[in-house]
Amino acid sequence: MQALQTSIPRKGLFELEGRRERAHAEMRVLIVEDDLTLQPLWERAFKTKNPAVKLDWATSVSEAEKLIHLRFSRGAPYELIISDIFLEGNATGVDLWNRYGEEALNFAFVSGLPVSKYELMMSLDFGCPTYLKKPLTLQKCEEIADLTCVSEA
Amino acid sequence: MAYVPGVQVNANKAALALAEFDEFMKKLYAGAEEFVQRTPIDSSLTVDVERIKDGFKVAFKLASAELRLAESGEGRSPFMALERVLLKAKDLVKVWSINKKV
Repeated sequence: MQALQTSIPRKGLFELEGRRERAHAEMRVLIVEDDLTLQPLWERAFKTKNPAVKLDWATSVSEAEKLIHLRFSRGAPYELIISDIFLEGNATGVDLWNRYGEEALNFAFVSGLPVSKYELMMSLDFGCPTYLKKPLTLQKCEEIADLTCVSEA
Repeated sequence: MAYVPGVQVNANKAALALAEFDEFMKKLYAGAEEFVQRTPIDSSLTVDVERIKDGFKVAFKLASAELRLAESGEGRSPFMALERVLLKAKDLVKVWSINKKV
């Protein structure tokens, strides 16, 4: 089939690009975690390290995918995705990384798994995201929150 | 497999060698359905999915009396390639829609 040429003038795209730049000014982090008791800890860590960050929370991969799709369609993907590995539903945090990991400027995993088992689970073809072993402490969470400060500089 | 009127998908399961093929196809049909709802009623959309060197490419070709477009997105995963082509194609439809009203 012959390639079709786009029949739409491109000038209107500038308007859309401008909207995207504004959207990028807002830094958002997605936390994919079914243990909601960790919410205050993460909120405190980000408040300390980077108060400008807005946190979104999902408890399953499907919920996370909807949020990622929404942010992407607004031209403002998440700055950082922090995901537990074992979540509600069939899909795991590793599935989320394999599907959408490349879009997050930073991606981190949180789990109770020993590091050796985590490394075995990961396909190393595309690198291995930062791993944080549970139980979480404020200090550990702040180290992850620091990732947003680095990419902001 | 889902059927969406006006949408033809060319994706070879064996050639793509994708573990999550069925999950991807669900998302592709859902995205394509949402997309064609924004286009003229006589639109027909062809979606080609292929493996490329560093991942996957998803290409949209839309044809109708009023609107024609061809866009593609690439990504390490087909899910991201799909997000990228959807974003580009929706932007073109928005621009067409704005220009049509002027």
